[in-house]
Amino acid sequence: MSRPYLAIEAIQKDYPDFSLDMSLSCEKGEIVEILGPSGGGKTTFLRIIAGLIAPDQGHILLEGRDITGLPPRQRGVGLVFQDFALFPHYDVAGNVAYGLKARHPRPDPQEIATQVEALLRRFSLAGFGGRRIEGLSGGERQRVALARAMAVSPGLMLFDEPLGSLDATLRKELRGELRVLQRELGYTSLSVTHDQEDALAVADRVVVMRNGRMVQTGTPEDIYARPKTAFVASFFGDSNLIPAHELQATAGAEGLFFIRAEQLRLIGPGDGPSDGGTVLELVVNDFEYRGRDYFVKGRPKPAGRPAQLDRAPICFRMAQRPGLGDVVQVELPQAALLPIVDDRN
Amino acid sequence: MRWRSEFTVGGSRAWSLAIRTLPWLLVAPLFLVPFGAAVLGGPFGSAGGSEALFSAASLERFLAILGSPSILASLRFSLLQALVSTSLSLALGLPGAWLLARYRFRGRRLYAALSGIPFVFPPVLFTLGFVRAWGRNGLVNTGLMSLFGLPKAPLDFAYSFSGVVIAHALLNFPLVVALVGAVWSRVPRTPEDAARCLGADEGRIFATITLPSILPGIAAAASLVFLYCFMSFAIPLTLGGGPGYATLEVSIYAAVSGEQNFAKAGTIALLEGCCAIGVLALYSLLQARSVAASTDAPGERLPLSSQRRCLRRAAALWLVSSGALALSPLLGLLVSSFTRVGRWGGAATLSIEPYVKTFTDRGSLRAMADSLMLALAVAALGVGIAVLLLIGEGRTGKTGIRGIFFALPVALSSVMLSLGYLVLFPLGAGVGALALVQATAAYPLAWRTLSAARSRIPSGLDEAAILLGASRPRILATLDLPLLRSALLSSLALCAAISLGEINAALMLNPTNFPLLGLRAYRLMGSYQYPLACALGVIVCLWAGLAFAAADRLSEEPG
Repeated sequence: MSRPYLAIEAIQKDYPDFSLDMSLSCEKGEIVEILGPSGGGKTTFLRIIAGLIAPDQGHILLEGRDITGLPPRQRGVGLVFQDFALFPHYDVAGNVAYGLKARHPRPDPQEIATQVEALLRRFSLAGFGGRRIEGLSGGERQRVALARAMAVSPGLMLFDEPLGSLDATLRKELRGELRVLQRELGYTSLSVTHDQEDALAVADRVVVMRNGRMVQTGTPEDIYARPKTAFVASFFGDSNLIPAHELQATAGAEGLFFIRAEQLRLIGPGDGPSDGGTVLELVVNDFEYRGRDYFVKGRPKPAGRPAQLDRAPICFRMAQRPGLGDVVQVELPQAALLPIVDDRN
Repeated sequence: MRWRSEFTVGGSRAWSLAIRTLPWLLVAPLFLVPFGAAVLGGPFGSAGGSEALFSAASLERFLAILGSPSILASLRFSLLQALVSTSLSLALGLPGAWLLARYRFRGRRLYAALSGIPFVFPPVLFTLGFVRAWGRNGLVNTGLMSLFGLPKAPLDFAYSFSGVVIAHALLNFPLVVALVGAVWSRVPRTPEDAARCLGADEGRIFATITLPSILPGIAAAASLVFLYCFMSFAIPLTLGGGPGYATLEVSIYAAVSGEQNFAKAGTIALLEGCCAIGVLALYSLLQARSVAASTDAPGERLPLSSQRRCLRRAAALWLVSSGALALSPLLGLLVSSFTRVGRWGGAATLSIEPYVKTFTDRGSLRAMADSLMLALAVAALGVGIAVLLLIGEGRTGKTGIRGIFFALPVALSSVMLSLGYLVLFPLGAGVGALALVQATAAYPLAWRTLSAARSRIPSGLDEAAILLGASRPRILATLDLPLLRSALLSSLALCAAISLGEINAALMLNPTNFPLLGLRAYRLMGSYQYPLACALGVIVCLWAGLAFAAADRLSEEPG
């Protein structure tokens, strides 16, 4: 069995109001996205790996080498900060050259200039060397931050919300750039984000984190299709969490069942229900136009009685524009219903 | 046309115009007229009444005075001692600024509060305390002598160049701690972490990342301390003691009180004023740059107790010893006020005799009553001026030409302004002039306090009030002033404290039949009646302290 490229073993860090307890391992060249709500300890976790925060317990092994006690500069780990943390008093070239100079006691200016030039070209920043940081756009800043971090060619790159401060159009564009770059350079990438779309789009593997603990890890497809807990389910996309006793098919069972909005089947006037599935009658309560179709929320309405306001709305998709107050029938296919751990609150 | 839209929403054009021009009409003459009189009435004034103001003869006379060796020597001394004092203040202040910015520790707030010393501890009383702590017969020497059985005082520097610069450093380094500490704590941290990840060691991080971002703040603090030291009066007057160690400020006083030479005094005032305005402008510029480079919120502070042991020990040692240095004059004052000098040169003993004497002496009691009255008048005037300026400046803060202009009294000393009043009223300027001079000297601090407090009021509040139909005066009365209550009270205390121990203007104007505490303490010190002088000093400091405590207390009560 080959040892993993990066192994994080039972890292613990206690704060007065928060504690972190994580284990994780990554293969070389893997893109891992750590996903979770703000305040969940993601950034702390990254900073521990980078060596900016010392853990109370646990070990970090990079290529089999224990780097837990090493200062950041001896780790060979690159970190791209959320706000990029570019040095405002250096120009672009000065920022990119910083790590090269810091690592050599007597740097050769000529050699560094050549290396910086090459880096700027690689990150489509040729001719930007003399520019001041203030005048750069968000995308340009990100590329400078990447060039700076990668100048010292770390094998492991950490990204703290790399797309967090950008607007929607730019973040999609830069997401693509990051992916291309990673394929070219082959570094191992560990990012944290609170945006599930970013995580699903980029990752080889997603780690869902909550309150300093790992909740689930797997491929994006796996996490999306088979969330283990209600928290994970509701974090990715539009999901329905339905107590077992409200479903005919699982009558008598306990617990909570999960089904994605797009898996509910609308029953038209001519169709009958397929056997085994639960059929619910819903009153359309609210809907959003999502381009391809409509995302609809409806309240369950037992036959002959008014809609039940105390029950959570069920969401599903419709091809045609619904009317508010319409009564529709949807079927929850038996095969799509997934038992799930209820960890809400 | 920003101001139009801002002011026509809530009030009439006439109101807005009045608000904009009132400071120029009422506040500017407070320093422009006396300073102008000092300069024009002196060197350029008509000696016999027959010359024109700017004649060739008057210009020649002015240049002759300016080039005289005594003035050049005084200028050289002013600059040199200010330079050395500032360097010393930085050396003493920067480590504390770093600790204050980056660490949490017990007594942190107390240490930061030391920066109030230069504002509430009047320089003359500071000097008195300094001499009682570090002088030949002071606490330190007495202690060292009895501890090691020395025959004579080992430290003998109080009355010398070293004494002047060390006193300046002790007075001003806590200011460096506070000013630079505030800048340092607001420097964004992530660039330092970024440098750390890029392989820089701590020394390189400091030199290439931290230092460049705090440098404008350090330079701003240094220029302010330089300005204070350059214009220092009581310390060089007492400790310098001779023409060789006279700052320009002291030379003005000497020219007036000794030689009655108003032409010379005016020339020095012009020279000093120009230099000081230059330094003040530099300070404003640096301050603006330093503010622009900082973030809004201070960064996280790590508990000092969780740091490495050697750092912890060094920090504790530094904090305690530098804090003791800053407090040593206060301690000297306090201890000395409770001593009785033995008869026939016997050893001093602890006693409350100085206080008994002070409170049974009619002269001292009058001085207390009159000083308090003056302090109250100065507080009301100074804060009144500050509020007037505050109303006029809108919400935009006080950077820019207007801010520098109305801060000019920082660079135009009370000695210069007093000179002006002496020129204007040759028969004696009286207590009114004294109150005006003190209020002029005090209002910039009150203004800064209030302005800083107002900038912390969320900007949406008055816009909300305008939209709800409130007029400008109503906004002022119902929003700004209530929210500024604590700042108003502490500026009142600040102005009163400045007036209480002030001797610069008091010595210059020397109002007859109006004895003042500061002057009395200064004269007692001059006749070596230290315990009595110190008792008066302690009473002044106590009042100033009480005023601040009361301001603090009152502002905390829900209103």
